[in-house]
Amino acid sequence: MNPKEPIKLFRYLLITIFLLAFGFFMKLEVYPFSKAEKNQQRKITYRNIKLEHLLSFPVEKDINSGNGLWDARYFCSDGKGRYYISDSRFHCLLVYDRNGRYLFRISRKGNAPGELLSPRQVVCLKNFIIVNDSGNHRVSFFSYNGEFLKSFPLYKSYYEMDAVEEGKIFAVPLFLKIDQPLIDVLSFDGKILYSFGKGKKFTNLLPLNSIKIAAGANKIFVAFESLGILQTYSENGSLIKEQELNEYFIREQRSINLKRDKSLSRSNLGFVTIIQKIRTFGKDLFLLCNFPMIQIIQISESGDIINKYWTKRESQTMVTDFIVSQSKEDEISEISILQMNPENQIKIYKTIRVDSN
Amino acid sequence: MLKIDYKVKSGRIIIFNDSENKLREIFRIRHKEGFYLLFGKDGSLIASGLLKEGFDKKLKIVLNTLLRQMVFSLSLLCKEGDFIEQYSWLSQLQPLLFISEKQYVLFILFSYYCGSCGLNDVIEKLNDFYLAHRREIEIIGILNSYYYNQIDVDLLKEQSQVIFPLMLSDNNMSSKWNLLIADFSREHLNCIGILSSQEGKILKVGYLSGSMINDFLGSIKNYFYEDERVK
Repeated sequence: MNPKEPIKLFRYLLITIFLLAFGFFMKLEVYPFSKAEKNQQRKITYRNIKLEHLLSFPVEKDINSGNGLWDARYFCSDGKGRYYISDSRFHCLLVYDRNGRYLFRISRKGNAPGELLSPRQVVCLKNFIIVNDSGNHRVSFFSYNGEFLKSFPLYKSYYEMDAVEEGKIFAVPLFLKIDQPLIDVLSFDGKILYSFGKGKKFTNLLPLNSIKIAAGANKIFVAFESLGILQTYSENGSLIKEQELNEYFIREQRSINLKRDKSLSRSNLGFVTIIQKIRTFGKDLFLLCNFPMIQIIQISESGDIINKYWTKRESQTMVTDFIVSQSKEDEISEISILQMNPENQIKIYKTIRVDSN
Repeated sequence: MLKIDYKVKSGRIIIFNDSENKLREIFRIRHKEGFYLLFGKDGSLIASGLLKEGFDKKLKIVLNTLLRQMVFSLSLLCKEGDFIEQYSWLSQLQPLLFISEKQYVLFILFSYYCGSCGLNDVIEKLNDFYLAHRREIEIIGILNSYYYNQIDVDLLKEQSQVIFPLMLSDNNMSSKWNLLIADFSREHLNCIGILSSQEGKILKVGYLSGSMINDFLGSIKNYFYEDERVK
């Protein structure tokens, strides 16, 4: 026997033991980096509320008669159960009732007054509907029975828009320069009243400065969709606070995006959209996230997460917009979610289970 | 008026004709393994795609666009060297020449006026040019009244912070303008500059969009330079 052979065997044995131990610890997730995260996950201060699917529309009958949705990404509700959805196929608003039955269309494709071309955001106010008519570069106003009221032209292209009853439209232009304000405030006559908000410095200015906005309760909420950062502004545009959302999945996706930004090229993988849409309801803010599951996060005025409404996400599912409705007991009773993929439809969910801590 | 007649045959050759049969372009199409390839007269690849249902409609759109680009020429509007008074549809511009009292007048036709559609840089450059040379040249932007009204023009002027005057086209101009838009597209008829001398002679017609504005403004500066040299 070669005198070196026992040493060799001993080495192999050591390596095998090390590999087995490493695999074992990895499986148990007891490696030191996960400890802090696991502890953080345990500190749950919100309620997890599961969503149960009630109904989806448009139904087969409406789809077959040509009244289905196609590339619809935005919708609003009049508060009486009617849904107004901007449709990119017929360049109009499709109106459905609370039970998902198709009712009628508002407007048609074209560039004449009252016609639409690639409509985007729809905002339902008390007396009229505001549509961001992106193809015609204008904002159009319609009554709830479909009558065209007025429109005004836009010099800039706005990819995000919200409005309040007090006669202000908050619009987000494409972010191209670092000194450019994030939001323009327009009157209902189209005059730019003032602009506010400051973008962040990144290699790729445009995608990482893409924001979602929601106006309500005398405040304007801004969410950096690829960073998971929330800003709250007063109605006159002064910054009240900024908070980084600290959820595990948001931190992870944020770090992916920041790494991709540092890797310079615009032609690589692109950026993950963490926040799909934000909306206000009462004094609270609601965020729609698409990954790892479909969830709507309710954030209180103080910036704490109160509730998380969630449902399972199937492969390839992509959601773009949502509406929350309240029951008499001030609880969120129903949530309608606009799904883009795999089928373009609206899904209505009811809240069923509360796991309070 | 231009009318295009076309046939996409399942075979190989596609022939386009305009109503006067002046234009005759031959394209070749090849089918292979579920794909189609479209070649121009010189053999260059123009378009390709999947041979699925409705592909012929897409092809027609591609070819239609191509043909329109081939046919459209700025001389359809007016020719350099002519006088503005020779064109009835430009009658709106004639009195403006006298009002301005400047050596040159640059009219810019905007069929749509949108900063994010590439006009932002153009407006910025024109603003700078106007500030630098307002003694020699008057710049007047004209918006198509089919799409805009006076309130819109005032709004857009405020939103875009343009410093030179903007005005609406009259019915005479709009009717000709819209005929051409119907035949070609709004893109073809947007941001066209017509440089005129004070006497109404059309000195230059050209696009001001994109990088073409540099050439256009450069050639105007040449006129200024020539004038100084003559003096």
